Amino acid sequence: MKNIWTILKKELARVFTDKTMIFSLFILPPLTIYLIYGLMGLSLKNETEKINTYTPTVYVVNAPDTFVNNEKQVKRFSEIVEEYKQLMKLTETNSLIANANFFYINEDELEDAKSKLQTKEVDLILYFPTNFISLVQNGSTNNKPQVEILYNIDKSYSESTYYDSLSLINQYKNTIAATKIDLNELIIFDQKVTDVGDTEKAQGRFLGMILPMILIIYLFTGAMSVGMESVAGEKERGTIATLLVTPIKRSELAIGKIISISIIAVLSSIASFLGIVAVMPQLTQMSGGDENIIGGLNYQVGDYLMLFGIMFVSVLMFVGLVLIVSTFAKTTKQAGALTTPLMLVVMGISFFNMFSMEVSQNPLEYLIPVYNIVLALKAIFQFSITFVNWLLAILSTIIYIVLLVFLIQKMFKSEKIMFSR
Amino acid sequence: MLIVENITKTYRLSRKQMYIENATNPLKVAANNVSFTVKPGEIFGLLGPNGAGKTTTLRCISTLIKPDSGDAYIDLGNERISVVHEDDKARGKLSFLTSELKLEEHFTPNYLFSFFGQLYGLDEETIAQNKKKLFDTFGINEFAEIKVSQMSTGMKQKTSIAISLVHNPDIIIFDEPTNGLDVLTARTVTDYLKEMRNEGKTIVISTHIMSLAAKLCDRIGIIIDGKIRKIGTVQEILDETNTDDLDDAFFEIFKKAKEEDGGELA
Repeated sequence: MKNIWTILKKELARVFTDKTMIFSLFILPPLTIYLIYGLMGLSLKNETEKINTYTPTVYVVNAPDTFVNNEKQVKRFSEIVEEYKQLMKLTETNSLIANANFFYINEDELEDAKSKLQTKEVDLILYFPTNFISLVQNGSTNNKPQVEILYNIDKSYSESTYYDSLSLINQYKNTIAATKIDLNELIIFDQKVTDVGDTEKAQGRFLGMILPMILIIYLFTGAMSVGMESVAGEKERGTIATLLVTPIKRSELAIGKIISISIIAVLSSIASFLGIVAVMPQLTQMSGGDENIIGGLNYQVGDYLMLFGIMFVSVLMFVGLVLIVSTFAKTTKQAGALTTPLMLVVMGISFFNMFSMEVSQNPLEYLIPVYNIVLALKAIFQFSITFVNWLLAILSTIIYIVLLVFLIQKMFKSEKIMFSR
Repeated sequence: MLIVENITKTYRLSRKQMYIENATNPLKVAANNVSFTVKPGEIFGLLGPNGAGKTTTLRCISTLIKPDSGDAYIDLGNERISVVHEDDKARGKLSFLTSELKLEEHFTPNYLFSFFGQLYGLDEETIAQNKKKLFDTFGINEFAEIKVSQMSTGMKQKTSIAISLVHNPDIIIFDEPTNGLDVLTARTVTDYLKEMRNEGKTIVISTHIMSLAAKLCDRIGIIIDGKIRKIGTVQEILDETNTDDLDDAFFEIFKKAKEEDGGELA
């Protein structure tokens, strides 16, 4: 025990008395996180400001004329649009649809309009069926007219115009509703939304989803930057042999190394975590205000404890993996070359289900090394973790860590590994 | 006392190594039944050309590698420690020095001396005492607070020697003690080895430098191709080979060894 402590103190002294190490482990990672995500947030803010001064082009197909329903007059759709614009102006509300230029076209021009939507010349198409008026007049619950809204998600202005148009559509609905007698039939018509863009890109907007992945990358790189060098570097410089001729047990040396590197890696990942916390407001903005995904205020103490537990065991797990590589390698350079594929595997696993909204609840999946960490992190962020699954992930990871430690000790005892050249 | 009994160590050569060494057999017997005994108050020298198996033998004795067969014992009168079976314990009794053992660049001699002292299980007081003695001997005090990275080769070597002796070991094993040292530092080292011999330590060195072996060693073991070919004092070796200096004696033994092994003269 005393020897482990001696090794531990030396390893910590090595890092904490070295300004470059302190900077690269504890200051640089949170700073880069903050700057990168801060800049992303800033550019998003600029984009939002640009949107507010933009004038979208909206095509309305078969815009309904004025008509009489139950002896009450319904205004022309174009009139409703003008009224809506006036209202927005009076209330000084920013609305893209109120800024828009409206063009009223016929059915036969629809295809042309659609291709313009695809080429982003047009931002939005509102499509009324030709028999809209008669459908409203004779409408029943089962036979309601449908208004189609077409937009292109590849163009952010188009998407924003679509969101704003919903309020205008509602306005028109209300106007018609006022002419209805039967209060059970207040739903006048349905909307059908068609997006002509690429839906995968849309999902990319949910930047909040990548938080588990960012965490894993930072946990891994934290472990990597200290662990990779620690044994391979000492082998390369010949300093490990100096330790190996002392009466200290190989296992004590291995454990002292593992603990000290874990402490440093945990501290480094806490620093990275603080960087993420600091940049949280910008991240929230980017994910479209969907706070549930990236969290913050909604999380309870229990969630944070679970998160911390997972982060803690995953750092130890990564340190174990990196140390295996570092012990096996003859030089730091070789360790670096061998760690890269390891990192790609870990990153691959965390990318694997990045975009899926559903998190598996199958307990068996919470036993798969590294993958269970990804699953658990994701489940925690989405409030869908069960205590049993969490415990399974923690316990199985601890078992893997024990196996790794055992393996590292074995390697330290092998003269082939420690003295190969 | 150090008793080395029939140490044999075989390495498997890689293709590249086979090519370099012009070998046809991938197995290379680095140490072949090496046996010798060193008494307290004696400096024993393993003398041989490069690749003869000196370092392998010394590494086996100092527990860094395990021999395939054979063993070495540290006999302290009241107990006998096997380096193969009680390696952790044996390491506490011996000191292995070689230019391959390096010190971490980030630390100072002061820090490293205390650090290794603790690893050898010494208390603060003993560490302080030994530090004073060794730092005085090797003149380390003037750079005791300088990081290893900023020291000259000589300073590093002195520090490394001092640290290897932190636990005042009974057995001192020194692989190529004067390699890479300037004349003055080499002199300090050899003088200190003599001093320790006079204190009754058991000392084994390896070297390929005949003059060093002749001047420093009480007895010499000549090792060629993994086998000990002759053991004795310098005078005994000269007498047996009918020569008047060690250089000539060595060459005689070398010739004979090659004839015995059926090999060619390198």
